[in-house]
Amino acid sequence: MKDKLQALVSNKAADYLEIRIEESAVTSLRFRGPILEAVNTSLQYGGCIRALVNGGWGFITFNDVNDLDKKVAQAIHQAKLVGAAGADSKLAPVPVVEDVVHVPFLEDPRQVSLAEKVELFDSYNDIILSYGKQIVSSSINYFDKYSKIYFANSEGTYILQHKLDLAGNIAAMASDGSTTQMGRVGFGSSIDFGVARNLDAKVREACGKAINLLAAPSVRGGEYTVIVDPDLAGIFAHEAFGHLSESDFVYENPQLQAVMKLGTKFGGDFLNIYDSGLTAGARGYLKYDDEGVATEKTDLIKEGVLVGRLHTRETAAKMGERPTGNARALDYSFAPICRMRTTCIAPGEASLEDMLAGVKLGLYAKGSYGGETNGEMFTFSADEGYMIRDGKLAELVRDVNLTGNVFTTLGNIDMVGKDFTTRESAGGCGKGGQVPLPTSEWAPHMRIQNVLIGGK
Amino acid sequence: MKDLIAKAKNQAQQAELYQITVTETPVRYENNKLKSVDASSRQINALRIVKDGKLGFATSTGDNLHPLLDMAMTNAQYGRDWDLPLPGAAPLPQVELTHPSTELDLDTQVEMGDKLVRQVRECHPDLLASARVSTRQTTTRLLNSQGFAGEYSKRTFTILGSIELTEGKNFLSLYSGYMSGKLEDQLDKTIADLVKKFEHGRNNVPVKSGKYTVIFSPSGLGDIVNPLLACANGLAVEKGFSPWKDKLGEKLFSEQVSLYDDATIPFAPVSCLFDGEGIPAQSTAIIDKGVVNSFILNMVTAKALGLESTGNGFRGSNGELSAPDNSNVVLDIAETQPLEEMLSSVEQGIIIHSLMGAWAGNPYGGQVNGNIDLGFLIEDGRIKGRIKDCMVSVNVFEAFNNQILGASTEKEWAWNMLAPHLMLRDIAINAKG
Repeated sequence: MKDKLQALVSNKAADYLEIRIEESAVTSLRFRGPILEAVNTSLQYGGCIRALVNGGWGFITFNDVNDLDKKVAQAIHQAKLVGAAGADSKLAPVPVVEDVVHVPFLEDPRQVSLAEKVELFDSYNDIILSYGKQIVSSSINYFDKYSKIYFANSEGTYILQHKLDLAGNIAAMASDGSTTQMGRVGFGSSIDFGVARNLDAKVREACGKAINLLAAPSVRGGEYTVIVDPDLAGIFAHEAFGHLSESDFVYENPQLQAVMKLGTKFGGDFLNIYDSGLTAGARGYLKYDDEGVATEKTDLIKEGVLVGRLHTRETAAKMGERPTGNARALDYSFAPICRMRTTCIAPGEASLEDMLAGVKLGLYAKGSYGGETNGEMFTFSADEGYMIRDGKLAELVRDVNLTGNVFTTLGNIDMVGKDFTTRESAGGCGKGGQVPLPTSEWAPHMRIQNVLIGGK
Repeated sequence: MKDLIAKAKNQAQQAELYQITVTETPVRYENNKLKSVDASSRQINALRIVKDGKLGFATSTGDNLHPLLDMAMTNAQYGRDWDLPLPGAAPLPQVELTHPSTELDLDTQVEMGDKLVRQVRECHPDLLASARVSTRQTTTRLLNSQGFAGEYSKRTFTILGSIELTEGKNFLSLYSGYMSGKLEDQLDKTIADLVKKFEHGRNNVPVKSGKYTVIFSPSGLGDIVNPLLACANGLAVEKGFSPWKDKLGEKLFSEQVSLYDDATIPFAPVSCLFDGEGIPAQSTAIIDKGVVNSFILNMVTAKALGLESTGNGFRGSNGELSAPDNSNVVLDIAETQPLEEMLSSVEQGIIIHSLMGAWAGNPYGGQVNGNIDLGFLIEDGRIKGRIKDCMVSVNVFEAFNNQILGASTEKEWAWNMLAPHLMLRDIAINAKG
């Protein structure tokens, strides 16, 4: 493969040329209620070619990997057309790499028989469906995807990466006839099927949570002091700040560059945020990105000050900064764009008790149902919330949706917990039509002042 | 394809091969410049078999059909029970899918993107305009052992335009676009919509928490209609988590409200001849004058509920097993007035074009809470400016029952939904401060 791919991208009429070929096998299971609705095996094989000519990009993607020479010529032809229209894309230099990357397995899901996988998830399903009569249904999804990704570019880089992504979601649905509520357990890994095992206690807890939420009132809308658990703090790091750190948002926007100037103070001295590709085991782990650039731990906020951002080779070149290994593509059918890997809020010094102390009326929000950002504002949903009254946790509430302005909210974080928690889920990040990309978000508890909560 | 079905029939009682080929040529403008010309071509194959009363399934890409049968046979050992006959040969509806106007060459696509970027840039020297102009050609083939052999091709175009303006820490991001099988004036409409939203969004105005008259534009309505579609979905009904599971025939909403799923609308984004299981495309009234009239069903959910499939067994983008999903959605409100008249009737209210994060709630409870990503304050019938840092909360079940104040006569496509502007009363807005 190496010689073939390198020959394809060498000595062509392009300023830069790369090819990526991906071969994947996916196994997935889906339970809905008592029925194992889907058992699927999927073989995916395809590739893409990206050419840069006079600052213009041409990109083509295909399943048919024959006639690759013709496809290279087509990508170059498209790139020329764009180059002639005055495009000015360029790439920051990076080291030429030759490497083969294997998965450092703890437990390889390919060695676990389909029968055993079915039996394992069936056992969780049994726990849910026999939990009690208010539990009306279950929903269990699991997949594992093993890929071999070949990458070669015209600069001489050749990398073969073996990759594993596996994840699942186990949900219990409770209903009282007028409303349905959910409790969930998520898991994920890039090295270990073992994360899917021994979840009985968590599954039971999710059932209890779903039932308790039935009787819980909706939270009353308004501004609160909010303590977010590590799940939600992770989503905060991702939605509220991570996306703004993606340089494709900034690199051609001088007004935004002024706002996002390195050295600007955004939060308290206790606030440290970074994004790392080196988190082995995390779904956001990757040794090389999809431009063949070695990943790293990239500091974004250090002691409250903006110190870095996430780059592709193109955004780094435009901004005169260093590529950080954040160019990622969902699969062979997409060109790489600037994406996060594992985004973390580093641990602080506060305990949950410290955070609760002195909160007269507040909200403790737990578990993430997902979030979204438009750059300036973010929003995310919690699985559940507890009111905080006079420094103590009080009644359970539901329909908790938090929102805020990114800049104001960073400044309103007044405590970061010491209980840094690694956490994986079955969700994924969406951007530019590429969804769900495996990312991870790790964080401790965190307290934020003046958070707006939706509701009546 | 025929060979594989014949071979599968020797080993299994029923077999079905679904194949979709897609070619697409997007032209992308980014930050005021032509950025990239792309081309993609994909083929997905999905084999479903029934072996000893159990379902087996497998998918592959490209021309890699060979391993599918063995994979599906293995999976059938664990597959769900299946005692339904796959549909046999049947007459398919005549649906106009593709108009010649969507045959666009690369140069035309580049010119269209260029026009969009050029014209919206005239609004402000510092704004960044982006655009995507794309055509997509899809051929869908379905062949099964019961005699169904169907094939159709369709071509759609997509125009998507956006504007970003950053002034200090104030971001204005606007989107507009269309997808259709017939190219008419959508490019000009996209440009006009962006320009109008930009003019309205240039100035921020304060908003206080309270109850407001709120108009949802068609693009803002998606999140509001979503709980209705989720409750009507056959899977949620079959599994018992839809609150509508025993409400068929009951009047839950104002008789002004009708909601349809219709795969037969000429040139509409999700129109087709048959669904992912070979059931002919059709139109289904989900809500008929306020009454829950039908669920959205594929074969297996229909069977479980003792009903007939509504032809909504759609497959995912990788050919996944069919699940009940909507085709084109049409919202009808009986009493309407021209949009201008509706807007000018508002003494104090809000118009919402886009919500953020509203999808994240639990749709079966009907409660939608979202950050107002793009919304404007209306006073004395005029748009005063953009409101920010605020959330809207709607209980959709209540809103469609007794909070409708009016709807516009004009309807617009927002991707796969055709809807009017909808005006609701007493909607809760929570604002900072």
